[in-house]
Amino acid sequence: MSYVELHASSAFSFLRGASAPGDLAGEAAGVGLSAVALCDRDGVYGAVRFHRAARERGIRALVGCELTLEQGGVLPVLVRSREGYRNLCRLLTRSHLRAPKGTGRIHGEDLECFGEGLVALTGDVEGPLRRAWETTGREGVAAALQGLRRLFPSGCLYVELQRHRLREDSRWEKVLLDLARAEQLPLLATNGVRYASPDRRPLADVFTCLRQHTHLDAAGTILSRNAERCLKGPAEMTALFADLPEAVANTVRLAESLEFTLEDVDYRFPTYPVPPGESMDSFLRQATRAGARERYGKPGPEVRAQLDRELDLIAKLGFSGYFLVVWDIVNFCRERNIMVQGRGSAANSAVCYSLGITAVDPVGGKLLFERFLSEGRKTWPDIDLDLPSGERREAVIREVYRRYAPNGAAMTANVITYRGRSAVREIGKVLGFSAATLDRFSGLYAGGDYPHTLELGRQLAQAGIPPNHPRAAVLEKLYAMVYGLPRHLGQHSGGMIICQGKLDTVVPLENASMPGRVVIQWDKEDCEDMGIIKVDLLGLGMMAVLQDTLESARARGRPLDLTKIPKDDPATFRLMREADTVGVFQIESRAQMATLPRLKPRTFYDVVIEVAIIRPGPIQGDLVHPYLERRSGRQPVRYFDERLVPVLERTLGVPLFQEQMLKIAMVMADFSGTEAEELRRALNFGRSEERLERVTRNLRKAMEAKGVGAKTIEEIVASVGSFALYGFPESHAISFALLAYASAYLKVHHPADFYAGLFNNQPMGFYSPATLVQDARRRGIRVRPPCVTVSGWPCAVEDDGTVRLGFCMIRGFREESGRRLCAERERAPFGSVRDLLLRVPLDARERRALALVGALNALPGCRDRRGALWQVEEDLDGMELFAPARAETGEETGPLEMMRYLERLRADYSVMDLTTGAHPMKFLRPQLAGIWSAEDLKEAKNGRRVTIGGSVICRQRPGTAKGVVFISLEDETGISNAIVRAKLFEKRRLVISGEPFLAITGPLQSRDGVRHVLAEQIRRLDTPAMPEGASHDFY
Amino acid sequence: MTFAVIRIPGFALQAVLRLEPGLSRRAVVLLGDGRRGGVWQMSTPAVRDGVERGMTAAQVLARCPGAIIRARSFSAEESVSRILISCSRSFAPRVEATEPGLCTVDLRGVLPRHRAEHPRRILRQLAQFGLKGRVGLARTPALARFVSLRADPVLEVDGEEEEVFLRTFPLALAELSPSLEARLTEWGITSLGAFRRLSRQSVGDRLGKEGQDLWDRVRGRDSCVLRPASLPETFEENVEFETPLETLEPLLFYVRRFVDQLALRLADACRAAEKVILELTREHAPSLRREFELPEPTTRSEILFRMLGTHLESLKSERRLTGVSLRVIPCPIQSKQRELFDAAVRDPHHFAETLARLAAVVGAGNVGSPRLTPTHRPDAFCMDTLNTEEKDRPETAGPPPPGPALRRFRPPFPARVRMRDGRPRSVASRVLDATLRDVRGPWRISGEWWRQDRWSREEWDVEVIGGGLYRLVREGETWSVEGMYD
Repeated sequence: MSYVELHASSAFSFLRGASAPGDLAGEAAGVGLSAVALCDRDGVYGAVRFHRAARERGIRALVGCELTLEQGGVLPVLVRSREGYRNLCRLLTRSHLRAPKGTGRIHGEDLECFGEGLVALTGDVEGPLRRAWETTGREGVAAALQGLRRLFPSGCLYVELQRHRLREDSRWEKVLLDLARAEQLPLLATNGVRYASPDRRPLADVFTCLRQHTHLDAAGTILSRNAERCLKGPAEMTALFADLPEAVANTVRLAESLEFTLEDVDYRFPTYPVPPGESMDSFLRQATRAGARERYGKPGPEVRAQLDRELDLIAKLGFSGYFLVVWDIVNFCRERNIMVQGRGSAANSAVCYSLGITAVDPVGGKLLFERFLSEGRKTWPDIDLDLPSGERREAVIREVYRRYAPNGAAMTANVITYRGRSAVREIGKVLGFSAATLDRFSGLYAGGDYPHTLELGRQLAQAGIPPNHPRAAVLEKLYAMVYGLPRHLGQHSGGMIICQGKLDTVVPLENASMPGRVVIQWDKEDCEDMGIIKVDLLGLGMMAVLQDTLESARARGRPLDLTKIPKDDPATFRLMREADTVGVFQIESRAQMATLPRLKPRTFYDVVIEVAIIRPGPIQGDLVHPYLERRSGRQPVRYFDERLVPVLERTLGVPLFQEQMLKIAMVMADFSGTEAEELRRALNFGRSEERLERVTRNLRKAMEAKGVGAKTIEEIVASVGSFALYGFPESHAISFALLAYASAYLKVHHPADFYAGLFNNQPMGFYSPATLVQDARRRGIRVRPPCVTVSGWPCAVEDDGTVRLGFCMIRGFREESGRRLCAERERAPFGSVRDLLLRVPLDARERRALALVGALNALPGCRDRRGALWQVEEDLDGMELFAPARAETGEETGPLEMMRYLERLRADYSVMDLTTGAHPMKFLRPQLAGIWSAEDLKEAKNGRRVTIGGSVICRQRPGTAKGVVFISLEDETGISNAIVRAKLFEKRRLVISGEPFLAITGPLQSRDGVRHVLAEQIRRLDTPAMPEGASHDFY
Repeated sequence: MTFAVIRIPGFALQAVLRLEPGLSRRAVVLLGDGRRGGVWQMSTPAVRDGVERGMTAAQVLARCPGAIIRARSFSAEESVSRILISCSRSFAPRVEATEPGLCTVDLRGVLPRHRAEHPRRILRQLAQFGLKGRVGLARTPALARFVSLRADPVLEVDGEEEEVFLRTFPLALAELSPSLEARLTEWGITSLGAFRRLSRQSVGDRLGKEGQDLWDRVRGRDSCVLRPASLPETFEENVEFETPLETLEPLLFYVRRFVDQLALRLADACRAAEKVILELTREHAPSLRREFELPEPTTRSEILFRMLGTHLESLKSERRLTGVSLRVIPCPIQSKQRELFDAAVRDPHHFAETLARLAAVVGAGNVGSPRLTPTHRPDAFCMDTLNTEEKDRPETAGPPPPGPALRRFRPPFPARVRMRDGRPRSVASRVLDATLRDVRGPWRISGEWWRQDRWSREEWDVEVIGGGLYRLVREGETWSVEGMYD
C-alpha cells in the first residue's frame, strides 16, 4: 500500500523542527515517499526550499501549515487549491500583522472568512481536540470537533491519527476512533514528523529546552520519549496502521485531491499605467528610444539593432512593465536629486542604459546581454539599484511603499542561521555548561569562528572543555546538526518585492522589527525560485559620499558633474598606482592596495579588472598571479583555445568575468541560451554544489562531443569551479569601477569635500575615521576639531585645504542638540560658555564632550579645554544667582591646569575615537628603538628582517586564504602591512585579536612597490595610557 | 592619630590563594561577578605580565598565557573577614568592618605604647592565617584609610606629614567611584593634594555630594563615628594532629571534646545545632566529609556525640588521619507544640541514629524515602532524606493508567526470547517459560541521550498460552521479564 506523509515540519517551525527542508526531501526520497506536505508552524517559511529540493528528487511537495489558534491548540491545514493557498496566506498575514512579531494567533472568524480551499486535520498532541480532551474530557472534544466541522465542510476535515509507539497513544486513539465513527469523518494516518531521521531527535530535544528556557538535566518529562517522529516510508506506516488500513489509504486519496503546489502561485508584477492607446511594450519602446537619443546622441546602427533585439525579447517575455516600474523609481530618484545607479547584470542591457537605470554603455563595452536576459530564462532579471545610504535610500523605500503598500510591497526576509559562537552558546547552555565556560569560548573567538584552521573540538579545548569531557562529544555532534539551520527571520537590507494587487495572497506578510516595515516569509533566493521579482534598493555609503561631495563642491562654488569627469585623468591613475587609496570605493582594501602597484592602472578598463581581480573566485582559482605576470610581460599570453581569443583578449587569456565563462561555454560547448542560463545560476553564490557539478558535467560532455582537447577541457572546467563561490559579472565590475574611479578622482581633485563626505557617512568602508583623518593629514588636508562657533551637525569644508569636523563626530551627541546649537548661534553668537549652556539644553555628557574636545575653546572667557570643563560642570541652577560674584573672584576660568599633549590625545579619543592632532605613535616613537616606521620601510631592502609597530587598524582573514591573516598597522607616517601564517596565528591568536598595538618582526617582502612583513614574531606593543583606536576586522 | 585602618590588599584574591598556597608565586587572576565580569583582582606576577583590571579572560591569556584564572569564593572571603575582625579586635574594642577586607579601629583610649606595638602584632596574627595585611594610622578614619593604601606594611601619618602625604598620593589609588575618578582625571587632578586645593564650594557645585564628601575626607573633616562590627557566629573546632592517628579511640576523644565545647557555646548563644559537618583530613588522600542533618535542632552533647560516634565506628580508612574538623550550623532554638494529628517518631534522634547505622551498612545513598524522578525512564527514583514527621506528601504521579495493573519484578528476570517476523514468539526465564499466544508492541522509549547513562528500551506485552499477561523488555540485545499484569 502507498502512503503520503501529510504532516511534516521542518526547522522553519522555529525551535520545533530539527531538519532542514532539503534534508526532509532527501530522506523522503530515501524512504520511498512520493509526496510530502510541509506544515510549518504559522508560516510557509520553508515551503520554497522544500519545493525546490522535492522537485529535484521527484517528490511532490504539498503545502500546509500548522495554525496557532487564538482559543488554544494548533490546527494543521493542507492547501487543496489555488484559492486555498491565497486564503492561507491571508490568514497568516492577518494573524501576523495584528500582533507583535512571533505572537500572531488565528481567530475563529478568520477561518470563517478564509477557510475555503483548505483541508484541516484534527491535529496531534498540540491539536485543538487533544487540548479539549485534556481540559474538559470527551464532551469538550465533541464540542471542539463540532467547531471544526462548522468551519470545514465534509471532505475538508480529517481525524488525524499518529502512532509513535507509546503506550499512551492507544487511549487517545480510542477517543478519536469513536469520534470519527460517530461523526462519520475519515481517518488519516500521519507521523507528525519533526525531523528527517531518528538520529536528529536529540536536536529536537535541545530545541524544546531552548523554547521552554530550561536545560536538559532539568527538562524531565517535557522531552520527547523516543525518536519516532521521523519520516517513515509506506511499508513502515502500513505495518504500523495494519489494523486501520483506511487511515493510510486516505493519505493517498487526500494527497491526490490536493491540486495545489507552489508551481501554481499566482504572482504578477504590477502593470505600469500607460497613456491611452499605448501598450506597455510600445511605451517602453518610446521611452527607450527617447533615452537612447540622450545617451548616444544619434544612436548608430549597432546600438539600434541591440535596442531592438532587447526590446523584442523583453516584450516576448512580458517584462516591459517591470522595466517601466524600475524606470519610474529611477525617475523619482532623479526628481528628488537622489543619486542612483543600477548595478549587477542590468548593466549588460542597452535598454537599461538608455532608460538611465545604469551608467554603463553595454554596446561600447561589448557586454553580453545574455548574462542579463535570455530566452531560456524563466525567472525575472534582477535590477539592483544602488542608492546613497541613509535617509535618501529610506525616502525611496518609503515612496515604493506609498505606491504599492499595504499589500503590494514588502521587504524580503533574511534567514538567520545557527552558526558560530551563538550556536555553541545555546547548545552549551542546554547541555549545562557553565556560563563562565561559554563566556570564555565566546571571548576566545570574539573575532570569528576560525573554521579554517581550528576544528571545533580544539576550539572547545582551548575554552576549557577537554575532549574527554563527558559532554564534549555531544556538544560537537549537536553543533554539527544545528549548523546552518534557520534560527529566526530578519529583514533583508534592501530587497523589495512588488506585486500587482495583493501580495498577501502570494506569500504571508509579517511585521518587521523596524516600525512600519513589512517582510515576507521568503528570502531573496526563494523569491528568485518562485519567479517573484525583487528590486534591490541597496544603500551604498560611497554613493552618499559622492553625492555629499558634489553638493559640498557646488555649495562652495566649484560645481562638478560626475558624468563629465575625464576618464583618463593622470593624477587619478597615479593615486591608484601608488596605492594611496584609503577611502576610495572598492580598491581600498589591503588586498587591492597590494595589487594596484603591480597592475599599474592606466585606463578605466584597468580599474574594472582591478575591481574584479581581487575576488575570492579568482584567488581560489589561482588566477590573480597569471594575469599580473602576463600583464608585466613575465609570462606569455596564452589562451585555452584559439577560438577564445575574442572572448579573453581583454583579460590576456585569463577568464575574470562571468560573461567570459558564459561565452566560453557558448563557443567551446555550443551552449544554448537555456544552458548558459543554467550555468549562470550555478555560478551564482550560494547555489548547491550538486547543481554546479551537473552543469560542469554537461559542459564537459558538450566540449568532448565538439572534439575539444582533454587538457583544454580540464583547464576550462577548473576555471568554472573557481567562479562557483563568487561569480562577478563584468557589467557589475564596470558599475563598481565607475564609483571607484569617481571616488579616486574626487580624492585627488576635491580632497576636502571628499574627506568631509567620508566623515559624514561613517561607518562605511574599510577604515575607521581615525585612519581617514591621518590619511587626510598625509595628503595635506587639515582636519580641525569641532567648534561651537563654526561647526555644524555634519562635517564641512572650510577651504580647499581644511575640513571642520561636525558635532556628528562626537560620540553620544544628539543630532537634535547639534541642530539646536547651530540655530541658536544663527540667532546670536554665544557670549560665553554660560551663555551657550543657558540657551542650548545639553545634557551633562554632551556639555562635557564639547569641553573635552576643545569645542568651547573659542568662546569668550574660555581659556582652554580644562577651563571649559570647569565651567560646564558648574551647577546650572545656581549659576545665574551667583554669576556676578564668581566673575569677580576670577573663578570662571577655573583653577585647573591646561591639558598636556597626551591628555588632549586621550580626551579626543574618549569622545571621538580619533584625534585631529598627531598620531599616537608619534608620541611613542622615542621609546620604540628598532621599530621601523611605515615611511622608513620604503627604504628597506627585500628580505631584510625588520620590526614594524603601530595601532592595529585592520585584521583580515579571508576564507580563501587558507588561514592566513593580514594585519595592517598604522603609525604617524602611514600604514605597514604584515602577513601572518595560519600556524603562527593560532599560536598568537589571542595577542593578535585582542591587542590594540602590535610589534611584528620578520623578513620584508618587497616587490613592485608592494611591501609586507612576513611575520615570525608578534608581540604586544606596550603603550601605557595610550588611547586605543578602532580596528576593522574581517574574518 | 586616633584611628587605624587594617586592610588586606587584594582581599578577594588573598582569600582564594590562602586555600591554594601553591599559587602564591604564580600569575593568578580573579574574575569578578556576573556574566560579563572581567578581571577583578590579580597577583603581582600577573600585573608584571600586563594584566589589567577589567580585562576579559581572553585578554588575560593573550598577555599572560600561563595565567591561572579563578572565580571569587564568597565563603573564603567570609572566612577571611571573620579573621580580620577578630584580629582587629585585639587592637581595640571599637572596630568597624568598613568593607570586605578592611577594618577601621577607633584607637581612642588605647595606650600610646600599644598603638605602636599592636599593628605589627596584628599583621603577625594575619600572617599565621596566610594573609598579608597593611595598617594605616591617622587622625580620621578616611585619612587612615588613605594611609593604609600606601603602608608597607605599617604607616603613620600625623600633623604636618599629612599634607605632604596627600600631595603625593595618586588619585588612581584613592578607591574612588569610577565616575568620580573619570571626572577628576579629565580635570587633570592626579593627586589628593591637588584635589584638596580646590574650594569646597566649587567642588560641591560641580561634583555634588560625592565630591564634597571626598573633599571632607581629604581635609580630615569626615565623621569619626564607627559602626561597630559584630562577629558572625561560627561554631567550629578543628585540630591538626602532630602525629597522624591510626585508631578510633583518640579520634573519639577529640570529637567528644569538640562536641562538648560546641554544645556549650551553642547554649551560650541561645542557638541549637541544625546540621553538623565532620571533616577528617587524611595523609596523601582526599579528606572525608560527612554532613549530618539533625532530625530536630538540639544542644545536647550526648545526642550529637552518639550520632557522630555511630558514624565513626563504621568508618574505615586506609590512610592515617591528619586532622579533624567539626562544624555546627546553628539555628535559633524554637519551642513548638506539635499539631494534634501530626504523627512523629517518639525519639527523632534515636531514629536518626538508627538510620545512620543502616546507612553505614547499606550505603548512604540507599537509605531514605524514594521519590520518582522527572524522567521518562521507567521506575526511576532517587532517595530523599527520611522525615521524622509524617506529613501529607504532594501527589507526584498522575492518575493510574487504565487497564490491568503491572506487578513489577524487582529486579526483572533475565529471559531468552525467540522471535518470528520481528515479534516475540516464545520466552524462557526463571519466572516464565512459555510459547506466546499474542503479543502487543513494541513500545519504544529512550532518554538521557546526552549522559553516560543514556538508555533505550523496547517493551512488549505478551499473553502466554495457558494464561498470563507479562511485560517483556529488550534493552540492546538483552531481554527480561519486567512484570506480570493482574
